[in-house]
Amino acid sequence: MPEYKIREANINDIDFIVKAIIEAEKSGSEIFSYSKIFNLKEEELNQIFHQMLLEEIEGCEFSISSYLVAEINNKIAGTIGAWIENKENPSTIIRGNLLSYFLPKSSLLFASQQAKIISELNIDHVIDALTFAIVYISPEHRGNHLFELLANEHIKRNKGVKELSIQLMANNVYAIKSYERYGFKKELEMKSDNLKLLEILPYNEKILMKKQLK
Amino acid sequence: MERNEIEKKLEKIFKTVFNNDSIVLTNELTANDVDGWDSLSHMLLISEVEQEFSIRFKLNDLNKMRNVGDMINIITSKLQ
Repeated sequence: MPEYKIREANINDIDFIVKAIIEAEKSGSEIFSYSKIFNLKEEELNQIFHQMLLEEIEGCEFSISSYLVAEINNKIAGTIGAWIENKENPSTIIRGNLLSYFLPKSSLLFASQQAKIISELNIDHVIDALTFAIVYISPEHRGNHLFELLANEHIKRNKGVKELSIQLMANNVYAIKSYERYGFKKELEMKSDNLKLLEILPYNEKILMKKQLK
Repeated sequence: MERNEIEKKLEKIFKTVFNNDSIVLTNELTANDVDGWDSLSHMLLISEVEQEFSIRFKLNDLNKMRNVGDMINIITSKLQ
């Protein structure tokens, strides 16, 4: 087993983190929801995500401080972005603030037409849970237990946390199995029969999984 | 613009964005109290508010808002 080093991400890792966000959003499909919702090209969103991460605002997936990375031979092999969901300062609002500040007005207008249909799959974040939002392991490092290594380190750094939560699309069978092996259990499933959703999101069913910690 | 005039305009925006005519604004109101107040609707809310009052929030302004009362205070300070 290779010896990975786990450390906090910093601004030099932004390229990898942006890739992780985009790949995680695609959930193994070719559909990049942000592109569809905001009518922007992947390259344009890549630039915007860079700018958002450079702000170093805490508490959502566009926060450098949320990420731990696994490194080997000075190259990043994988990352998990996670935070403790806070009732007073919810991640949805932190994310919404960053997006509303950095996205062009034309994209916001476009998104307003999609808002209702997307909300059909909305699942609230679990307050006070350590929320795993972005999980990405480079293909050549899969099978090396990097999820476990990164998840264990997140838990270690968030002493007192009692619960883990993760939301993902139900088509991501490989990921669901590996989370189940780690002790996550399916808690809630949200499905929409609106086929238009499949043009915007990678799948029409979303799952909330949780794991209780001792 | 008087505070109650700002509140009135804001309440109209909230009712439109969240598609809910029964919303009553209070200073303490937060995203936890309103159905459907997620990232996307929050962005639309911010965008509508900026347009209605012809203002532009700084990122720092947005991050300081914890409830509707904070939002009204920041709008008021921008209109002075």
